[in-house]
Amino acid sequence: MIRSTISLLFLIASFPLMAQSNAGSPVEYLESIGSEFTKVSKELMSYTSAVSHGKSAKKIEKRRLELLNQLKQAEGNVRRLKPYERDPMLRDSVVEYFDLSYSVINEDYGKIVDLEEIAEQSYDAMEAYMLAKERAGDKLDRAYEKVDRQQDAFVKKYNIKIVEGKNTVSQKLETSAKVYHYYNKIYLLFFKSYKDEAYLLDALTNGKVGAVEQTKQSLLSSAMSGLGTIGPLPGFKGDLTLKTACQQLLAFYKDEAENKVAQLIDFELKRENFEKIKKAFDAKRPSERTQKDIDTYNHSLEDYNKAIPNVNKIYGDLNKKRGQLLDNWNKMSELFLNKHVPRYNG
Amino acid sequence: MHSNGTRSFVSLTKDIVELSENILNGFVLAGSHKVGYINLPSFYQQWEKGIGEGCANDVAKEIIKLKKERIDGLIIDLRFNGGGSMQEAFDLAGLFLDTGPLAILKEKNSPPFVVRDMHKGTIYDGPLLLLINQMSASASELLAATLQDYNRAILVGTTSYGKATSQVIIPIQTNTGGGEAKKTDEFVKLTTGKIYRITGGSYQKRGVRPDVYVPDLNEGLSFNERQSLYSLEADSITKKTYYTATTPIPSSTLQSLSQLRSIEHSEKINSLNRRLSKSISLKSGEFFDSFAETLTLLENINPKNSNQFKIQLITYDNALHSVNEYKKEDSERLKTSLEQNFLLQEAYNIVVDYLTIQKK
Repeated sequence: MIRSTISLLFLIASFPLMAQSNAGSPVEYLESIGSEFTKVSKELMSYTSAVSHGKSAKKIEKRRLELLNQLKQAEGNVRRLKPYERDPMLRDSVVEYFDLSYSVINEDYGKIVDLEEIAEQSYDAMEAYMLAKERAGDKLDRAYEKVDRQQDAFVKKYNIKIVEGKNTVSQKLETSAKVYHYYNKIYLLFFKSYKDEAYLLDALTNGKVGAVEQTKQSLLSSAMSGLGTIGPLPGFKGDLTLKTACQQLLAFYKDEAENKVAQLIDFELKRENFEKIKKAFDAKRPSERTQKDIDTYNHSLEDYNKAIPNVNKIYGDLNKKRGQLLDNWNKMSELFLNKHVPRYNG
Repeated sequence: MHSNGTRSFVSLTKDIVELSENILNGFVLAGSHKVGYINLPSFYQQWEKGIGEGCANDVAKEIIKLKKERIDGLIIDLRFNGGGSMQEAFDLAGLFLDTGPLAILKEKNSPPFVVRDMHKGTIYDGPLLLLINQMSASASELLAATLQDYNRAILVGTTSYGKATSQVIIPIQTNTGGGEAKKTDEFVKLTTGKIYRITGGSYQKRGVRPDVYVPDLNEGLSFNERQSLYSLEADSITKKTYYTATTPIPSSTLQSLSQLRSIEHSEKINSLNRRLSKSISLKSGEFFDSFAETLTLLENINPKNSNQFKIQLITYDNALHSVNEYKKEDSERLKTSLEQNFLLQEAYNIVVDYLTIQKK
């Protein structure tokens, strides 16, 4: 979740860092705002690097707190700037952006979106969290667009020439943005089916055939949709490892839902059928039982007994294969980010 | 006692018979298309089998068996289903809806609460038809209204009962003067809540209106929520719900096609309703003559046999029926009455019409 959260802030790399100075106040004003973006960019890249390169949870959390601290400082510093020639629009748009960014990194989505409304639109808490994050991201994008517009207006008004150029940090952030854009696309395809399988496993534990069939259909639908979407996706700079790991998992989920769980449901129906036949058979006095009754009873018992070892094998095979593929997915995710996200030690 | 006033004598044999009024029945209507049919007598729960065991799970199992028969459509018969467990109704609605709100509940002094589908995914996404009549009440109406609001089912029959309230049954304790409450045989049934559709509207006193109206004998009876002296009034509620309805049902087209087939049936129903609304003489000869005439009219309401389909057992159930004679007799009895039921035949025709429209 951290990985997809930090990706919401990569627009920070887009704020211009340098203006052609004609030794005037508007340039200094713009540069003082730009310098806050630079400081935040450094902390963001430091945090991104920690998350992407297998650092310990403690180190990641340390970087996160440093980023939060920097965002708070940046917000405060920009807020204290006097409006340039009484026009607070640029300053206020930047303050709003830093404030929203803080809430996003802090995952305090309640400050940004209406959580009650989101809960009403969501199937469960996890879906609500994903939707809240998506909405917060949208709001953050719009806030940055506002900064962009205000900056454009400011530059035009004071005839400032922006010098195109990126420093090391902004280049690394841009590269990271591309990596995470690709990663998130594939991650979401994986996560949707992963979640649906969790619901299915829950239903299997509870033993209600109706719920198993429902969740099975949901998993089949998301796995097939995922396979359809991921198929045409290219690798990332020729790297197909992440895509392949996801495809293998989705294919597993599809087979699980389409073939394996269908057999488990059949078994439950066979078991129930046998119990009903047995009850009716036992209720008859031995003298009343016909040969047809005996044959029917024996046949349903044989049917049921034959199915038991198959069911045990299915559960065993599924558990083993699932474990292997999830381990592979986690490993490939780590390797992918480690390979493509630039390192940065601040 | 026969309708002509004569008497016959029969012997009864004492035996153990399994109660079947709570158990649903499923069949295949095999004609130009195969349509599954499930008769649901009530929204029962089976506490002795464990939590969550009830009619919704039984319907789910029946549908899984029917899918193996490769059905093109499904009919669920809620006629004369007076309701039962609301939770079972919610679970049953959830079988046909992927996710989303199912109803809005309101109790006194509490804010409105949106009941949601507990399980993601559906168990059947083909054409679905619900049969309702004036005796379909409470949980039946909840199911019908919810599926109607999502455009997920075609409702066929007559307007339902009109009960959109929920009750609890509380024992009246008598432990005045302190001490342990005495066991009591006296209870009070208390209305504690109102149920609203996901649109915020209500079927209280109004009933749920079918998409395709087919006249029914019971429509003439003054037996619905409106007749109850102290029933609550219909109102609406303001509560935002988020749901996505599917493509609207082509009700007008289906109604027109059905009406052409139902002209004769409607005339018979109207004639019988007129007859039943008149007073009846209690003089012996006149009473039995009148009774015999009414019975003849009743017998002629329904066709002798269906030309459109044969009613078949679900293949899965064949073995059980061969061992369990009561289950077999019960099924045969229901099969016979269904084969001669005009409304079921019309429901089958409507499913076929719908499939034809969808192909275009």
